[in-house]
Amino acid sequence: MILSTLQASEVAGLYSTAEMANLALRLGLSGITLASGVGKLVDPEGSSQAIGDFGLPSRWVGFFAIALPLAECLAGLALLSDATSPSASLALAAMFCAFGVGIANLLRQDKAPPCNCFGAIHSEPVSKFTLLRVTVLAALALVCYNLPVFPLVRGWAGFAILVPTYLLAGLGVKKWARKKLKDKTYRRLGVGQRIPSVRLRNGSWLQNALPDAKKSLLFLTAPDCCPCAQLKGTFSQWAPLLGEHLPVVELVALVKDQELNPIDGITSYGIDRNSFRRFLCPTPGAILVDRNGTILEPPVSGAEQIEALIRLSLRADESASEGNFS
Amino acid sequence: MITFTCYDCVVAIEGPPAVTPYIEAAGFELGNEKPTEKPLLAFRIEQNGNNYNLYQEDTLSCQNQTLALISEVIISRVHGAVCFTRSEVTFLRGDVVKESNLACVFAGDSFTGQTRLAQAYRSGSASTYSQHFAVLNDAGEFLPYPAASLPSDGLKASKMFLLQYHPQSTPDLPPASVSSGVGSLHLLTLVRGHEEAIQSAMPRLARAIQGTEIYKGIRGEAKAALRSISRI
Repeated sequence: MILSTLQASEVAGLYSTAEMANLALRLGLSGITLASGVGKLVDPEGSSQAIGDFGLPSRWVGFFAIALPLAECLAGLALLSDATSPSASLALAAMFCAFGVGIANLLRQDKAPPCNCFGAIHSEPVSKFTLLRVTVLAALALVCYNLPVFPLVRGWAGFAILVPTYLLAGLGVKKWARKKLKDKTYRRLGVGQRIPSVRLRNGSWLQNALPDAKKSLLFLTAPDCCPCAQLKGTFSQWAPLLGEHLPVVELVALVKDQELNPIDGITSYGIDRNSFRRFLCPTPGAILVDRNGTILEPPVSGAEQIEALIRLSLRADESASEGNFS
Repeated sequence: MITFTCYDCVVAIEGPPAVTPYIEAAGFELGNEKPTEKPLLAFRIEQNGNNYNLYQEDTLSCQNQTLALISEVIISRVHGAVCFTRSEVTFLRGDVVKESNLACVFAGDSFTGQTRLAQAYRSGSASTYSQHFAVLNDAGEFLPYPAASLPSDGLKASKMFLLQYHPQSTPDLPPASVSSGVGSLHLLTLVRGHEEAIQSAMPRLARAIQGTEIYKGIRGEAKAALRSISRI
């Protein structure tokens, strides 16, 4: 019904170029936000990681990982309805601006985590191009707001047709996003990303439990991992010596009733196995982080690499110039 | 292709020239010529985005790591392979400095601060003699390490320090002198290498500690430790 009305009107020359531009922008922006929203909903872990990478405190990450893609989907739907199109354009412009500020903030800190712009569908490291893209999208949303509204979906009858059509399109995008997620190769956390926003067994957020030191080492272990047990023995010898220059925090992946078996002289925290998987690092593993939980070096696995990482970290640390490690 | 030898063991690295400074910083002398014999260790470094992958022969050893970390892994493997291959000498974990044609040994395990203490010590009249390992020959003399080929002559040790670094510990007392028996027992825990290494280490250690003063104790920061040592 909508299409036939559109075709008839075009033929009759009823609409101005500005109205046609409004239509094109609404359809385009709606498509982009639908893909972006559904892509993020299909990969909630990736979305949580990205929200954390953008610097949000851990307690807000879970909420925004759901709320942001839902808001994108709703904005995309509202953009197609004539009545809500102007306010949706404005909301979308604000959303893109906020995203742009987040990107600029990351670039200022020389960080380039995955932008997760389209969730499972497409994600690339944050760059000046990403900033340019969201700036252009924000500008287009503002242009759309200022253009006369093209009569696309009017009244409740039009809305009643729009909603199922939009949902159907959403399902198509979901199928596509699922396929993309399946094809995704092994991912791992990179330099500049934040450690996953996960709760410890004691209920506090890992990010808040990090030592107030320039850098610290997250030592990832599991009770049923033999190399971990071997390395824990070595760590108990190193711990008092490392403590001064490189605080170590042990994260142990535990199943329901498993007890924490801490290393002497090292802060140990138990963590749920599902949350532990979000570190994407085989055990025994280690991640060098700053006091905010930003990853400073690529995560490593195995005793040999962990020792090399500690050695490099201590060597690089200027404050350890009076420190004493071989 | 970057090649070097350590105690006559050939190591070949196929990879970016940027790895060279890391290898040289560890004391290895790089050669330009192609190795005539099959390398004991052959590494290949491949770029992977902004980072690198390390292969030993064709086995992937490190994935998506910085060149600094990959170099550190290579260096660690070279040390490991050399001490397992050369059974005619004993490898003790530690550093040695040369002073008045005598060796001063700082023996200790990883992350116990021996390198830093040796560095601080050599800033005076002493010079670096051996890094990572203190190598003993049959005569009980210490040999320089790393070196391209196995040296024939070494230095007798005048002093050995078995000091354990402890943060914020600044004992004003100099480390205590210990008997050769206690010293030997401690040094045996620092022997690295093949299964028979301990057995062959015992006579060498016995010769090495003859007439040598051995000091053991806990030390604080390097400068404070040096002050204590100087009072000996």
